[in-house]
Amino acid sequence: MYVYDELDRGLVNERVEEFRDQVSRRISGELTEEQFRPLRLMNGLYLQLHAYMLRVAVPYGVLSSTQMRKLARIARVYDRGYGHFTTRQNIQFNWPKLEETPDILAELAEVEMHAIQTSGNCIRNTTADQFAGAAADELEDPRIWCEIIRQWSTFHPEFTFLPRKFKIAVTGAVSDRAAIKVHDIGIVLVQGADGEVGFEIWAGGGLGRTPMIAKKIREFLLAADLLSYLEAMLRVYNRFGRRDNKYKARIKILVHEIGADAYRDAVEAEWADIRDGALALPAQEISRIRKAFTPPAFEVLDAVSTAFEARKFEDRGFARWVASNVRRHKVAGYAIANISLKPAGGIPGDATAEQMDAVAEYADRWSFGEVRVAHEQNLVLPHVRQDDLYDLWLALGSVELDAPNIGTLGDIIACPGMDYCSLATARSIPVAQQISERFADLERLHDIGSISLNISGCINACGHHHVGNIGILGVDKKGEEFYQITLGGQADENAAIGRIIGPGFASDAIVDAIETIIETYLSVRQDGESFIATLNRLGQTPFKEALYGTA
Amino acid sequence: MALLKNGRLIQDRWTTVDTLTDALKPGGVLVPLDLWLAERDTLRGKSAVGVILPNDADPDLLADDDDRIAAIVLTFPSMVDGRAFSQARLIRERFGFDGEIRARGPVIADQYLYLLRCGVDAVEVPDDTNVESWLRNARRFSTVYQPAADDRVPAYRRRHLVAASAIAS
Amino acid sequence: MALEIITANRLGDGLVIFLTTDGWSARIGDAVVSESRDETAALLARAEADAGLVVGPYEITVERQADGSLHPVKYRETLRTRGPSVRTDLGYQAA
Ligand code: HEM
Ligand code: SF4
Repeated sequence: MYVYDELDRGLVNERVEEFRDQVSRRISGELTEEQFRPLRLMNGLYLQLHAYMLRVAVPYGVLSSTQMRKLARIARVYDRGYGHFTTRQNIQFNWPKLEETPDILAELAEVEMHAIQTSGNCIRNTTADQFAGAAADELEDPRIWCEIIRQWSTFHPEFTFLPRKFKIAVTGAVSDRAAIKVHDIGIVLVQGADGEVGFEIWAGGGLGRTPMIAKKIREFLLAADLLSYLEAMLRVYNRFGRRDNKYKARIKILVHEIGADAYRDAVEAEWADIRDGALALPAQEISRIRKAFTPPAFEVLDAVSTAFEARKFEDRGFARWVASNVRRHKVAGYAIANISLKPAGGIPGDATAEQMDAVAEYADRWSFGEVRVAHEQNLVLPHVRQDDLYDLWLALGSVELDAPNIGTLGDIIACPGMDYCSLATARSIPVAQQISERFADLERLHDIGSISLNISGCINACGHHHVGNIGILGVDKKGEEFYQITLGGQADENAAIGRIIGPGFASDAIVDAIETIIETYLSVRQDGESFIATLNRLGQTPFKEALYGTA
Repeated sequence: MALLKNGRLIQDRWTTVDTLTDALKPGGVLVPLDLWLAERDTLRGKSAVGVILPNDADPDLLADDDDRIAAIVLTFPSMVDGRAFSQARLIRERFGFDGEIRARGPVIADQYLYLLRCGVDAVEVPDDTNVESWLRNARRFSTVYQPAADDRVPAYRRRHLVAASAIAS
Repeated sequence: MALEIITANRLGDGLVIFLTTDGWSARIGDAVVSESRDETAALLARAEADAGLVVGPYEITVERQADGSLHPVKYRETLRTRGPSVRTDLGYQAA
């Protein structure tokens, strides 16, 4: 993991003092709320329905056990004993007091964490593949580049008051687990003609009111040019992105309105002027950061552990958990263990302080002290020996973190919705709870197989509903909660925006509607065909007919 | 309005004018971009002319005039409209303009560091401005992570300078 | 006109509060009720004057129940008077 040097540490501490000063100026009346709001937002502090909400950055989804324990402590001491992991790999606390946030930030700074730029119209936390450094299908660890981007974007003097928020995602693997095509900038690590690692650059993806898939802006960018190219991309956006309407202010609208070619031309012209400037990273710095992500001291193990195979044979529950939650690791004898934060009937993404502490302990015991946050609102222990999986699974069971449902219908992404969010038009959590309860039977869940169901409580799409195989959007219809269904969304390398299937459903009918869709799928699928494959083969018609009859 | 410049609050000696007649009167004047573009030959003899650049204008329009202009005023319609940050850097870094770049609009002390880093060296502020608060913000961070229009050395170079000099000594 | 009251969040801890005859209260029952547009405007002006104590005051429509208690018309506002519907152990409903 990246470890702060004294420059990084100094800066984060100075930021805490700055925020302390800003909070006291707000409380004393020197700053109006209008002036203070953008400042608090740039420290991740929102005002929500019931209280303030603090969003803490988990840079590219990587946490050490020490940091996880600190999050648990903050939940316990300053909040109400829990936190919510988000689709942006961050964590949100729902009940902090304004007066105490400087202290919270000071505690976070002790473990090299902060809430810098977790909100506001600036470059947000860069997200990445949650399996970075562990995935078998990875070209290079994307975290190296995420950390470089994190530093470059922190307090960027030119890009702190952009037209709108700006989100960058990076993947180094063949399978895109970071949803890079629905980000403002998506970066894919690729191999150049001479075998060197460089980047494929995408721009203009995004969800919200006008969902769009990113366009490819550059086929190949040399590693050393990363920052100058990003600077050119951001400068064109800052100058020409719309500011007259906040729903049209994202880069996706700029790219869409002027066209990817015109945007590319403007970026390339800008880049030509700065390419050879001060932004070229010294090779020593790249190697310093690369060193921070040196793989841990893996043991040399057999590719197949007989003990592990035997356990799976003996214990069906364990075998099921392995089948759904464990992924292949790039090192023989190791595995990636996903920890589902989606127990049937639970609140997606929520974890209690006790659970956080437990995960920290398991990470120390079995995963070199490393934890990841996945954008699907789950946690990951990236480097577990296959031989330790059984003990890990038992331990997870003791804190109710052993739901064997990763990638299934139980693994629902849901934003906080109206239960917490002041922008919501409907609740999303209760819908997630009812669906996961309805499909709690594990035989059935695993028979349905691989599928994604995402729920947002309003058009802002924090719950990624557009890119769920099944998407649910909560709307307000004359004071009643109503839910609109989209089918066909995908967040991976085949990213696609789902299409609305028909009129929405009332809150007491939405779960039945989902069940109808699933039953239809089961009745028409071919052998081994996933939900999305069936849908792509047959189109929406059978589902539409099942839901609304043949008109 | 006063002017915050070089760490001090000073009286603003420039007058903003809208017409050519007013622009030709003695003393420093700040003229709208359109007026400058229409009358630049008439105005070129005048030593103290500044141009007010709307924040959606292309700074390129002034690229050839930078030795005839004493000041460029960048406009911030609100504190969160950050287009002028890019303009400032282009004017300073690309055109090498070394006159005054001033910020006009409701910017606040907490943005001072960003303004300075982008090349703005003067800010129009209310007369009763707490200068100390602005200066504190300008000094707040001991590290910068990126090069900009100022001469601060970004962390990715500083780290290795330190290492290199440690080896040399 | 429908009945209206003024709500906001408290600056210091962000919790939901309601404008009363002489200040603010965490209980909706203490709220001062407006029965006219002018009254609402006057109450809002009073609330805005407290910008050093509260954040984002706005008016909401309420109904008076048979027992005299006040209930917001919108579900969003009902949630604000209670707390998250999915965590009945939290917020005012838990007290
Ligand atoms: C609770 C307070 C929150 C507020 C006020 C909020 C606000 C917003 C808004 C206004 C947008 C739309 C931006 C646009 O279209 O330009 C948005 C998008 C988004 N938010 Fe949130 N959000 C909140 C919580 C969350 C949470 C909890 C998550 C993760 C679960 C999240 C993740 C995202 C994502 C992934 C997007 C879509 C990305 C995109 O717009 O391209 N947000 N949010
Ligand atoms: S999608 Fe809407 S309701 Fe859900 S968190 Fe985002 S803004 Fe709130």
